[in-house]
Parts: sequence; structure tokens; C-alpha cells
Amino acid sequence: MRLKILKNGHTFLQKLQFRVIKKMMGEVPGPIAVMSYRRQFFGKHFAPWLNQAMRKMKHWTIGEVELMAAFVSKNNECQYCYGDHVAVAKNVYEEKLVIAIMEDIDTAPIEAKLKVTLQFLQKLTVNPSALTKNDIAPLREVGLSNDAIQEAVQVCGAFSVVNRLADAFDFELSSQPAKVGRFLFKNGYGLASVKG
Amino acid sequence: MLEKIILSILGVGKSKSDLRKQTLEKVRNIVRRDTSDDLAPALLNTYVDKVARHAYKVVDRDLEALKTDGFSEDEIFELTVTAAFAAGEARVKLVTELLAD
Repeated sequence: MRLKILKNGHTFLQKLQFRVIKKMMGEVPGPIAVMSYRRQFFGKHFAPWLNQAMRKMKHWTIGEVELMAAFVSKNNECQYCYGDHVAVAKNVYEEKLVIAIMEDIDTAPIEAKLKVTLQFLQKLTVNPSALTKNDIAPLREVGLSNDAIQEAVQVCGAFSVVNRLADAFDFELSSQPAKVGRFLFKNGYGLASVKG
Repeated sequence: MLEKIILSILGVGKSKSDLRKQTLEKVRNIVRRDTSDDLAPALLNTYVDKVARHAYKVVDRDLEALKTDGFSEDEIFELTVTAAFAAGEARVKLVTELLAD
């Protein structure tokens, strides 16, 4: 972590709760440290967006949004988020399939709906200013509604933020990604901003 | 939900609110048009540009340089959060507009 305040600047009560998180997850993940620091400024308001995007969707499964999170992270070259969200996705999908999707979305053996969505998110991540209405057409062709598209875009939006925080602040890579992945799969993102 | 976050990150803080507002607009413009006005000081401009376009290239000395230039850790925290948030928010808004057309 490049800022000392994100290591040591939390309140006494937050530090106590971090001990519990450490027992459950093996460590205090960087996003929790950032979203808890002066939480009124950012984390208190951002965490509900993240949780909404990742666990309160109507058109996508947990496995699908975790694949989207990992895929956006891969395209942002964010090693931290990529590792953790591949680990979450592996709770749902075979490792071989997850890796195939991450390495080449165009040839990965997945249904058209998810494939065109990930291709769209790739462009939105890497080259957003080049997006036009024409990029919406493939999404329509596979029958995606505006709501379904918006839900996928919320995942891309939220991870566009977290990826940048992870890399700018230099989050330490998870020492036990499988443990973190299992925890996030089962418990979601409700603990993302610790009160106190 | 996004409006609440904007109100908060542009509200009371330790860095100048105007600077956070300019940072937000700069990153929004990078997302939408791939171009933006420069921020002052130049070091901050370079840093925000890097966070917006390829945050994985940020290195220790980028933040150290900001500290040497007089930015406190809390100011760097706020400006980084603002730049990162703008990168996500602008993408969501961009697609909302494409879907509305």
C-alpha cells in the first residue's frame, strides 16, 4: 500500500473489526482498507454501488458477474482484482473455462449472450471513446434488454473504479486467493466498507 | 446512487474542492473524448492521466513526487479516489446515453 494512512489511519473500532476479517479471509483486502478509510468521503457511498452491481442483479448470475469483474480487471491489467475475481468465478465454473474466457473471449466456448456482453465490456474498458450505437446491435441481436445491458455496465463501471484504486494504491496481492474467492462467493460485498 | 458518491467526493475534504472537480471533469473527458484539459500542477496532471488511462503503470515515485510537491497523503487519497470514480461513472453514463438514443 503506497499510502500509510490506508495501512494505519483507520479508527480503533475499524482496526478491531479488521482482526475478525483477517481471521475469516486470511487478510484485510485492499478494497476494504480503502472503502473503510474516512468512509464518509467515499466508501460509505461507493460500497452500496459495488454490492448492487455484484449481488443484486436480476438478469445475471453471481458466476456471470464475477466473470465480468475478472474480465474487466484483465483488460485493465489489474493483477490484484483479476486474481481474486477469477478465484470467485472458479466457485461456479471449471478453471479451464474461466481461463479460456480470460485469454480469448472470441474463441471461448460460452453462450452468445455472455460472449457479446464481455466483448462489449472489453471495448468499454479499453476504448470507451470509440463506442457507438453500432456496438449495441450485437447485444440486441442476442435478445439483451436495456436493463440487462445496464446491469453488466454497472459491473464494468464499479470495477473500472476498483481496478484503478488497486493499482494506484498498490494493493498487496492476496496470499490466499482461493480463500478470498470462497468468502466473496458466499458472503458477497456487504463488508466492503467497515463502520466505526 | 452515483449522484450521492459525486456529492460526497466533491464535498468537504482536505484537498481543494475545485481541484477535485477539475479532476472529475478531466477523467470524464478522457473517457468520452480521449482528450482533456491539463490540470495544474503538471505533476498532478500526469498522475491523474495515468490513473485514468493505465493505472497499472503507476509506480511508487509518482506518489512520492506528489508528496514532494506538497500534497498530503489525504489529498492524494481524495484526488485518486475522484479520478478512479470518474473513470467508472463516465463509462456508465456513456452507455446510458447510447441506449437512450
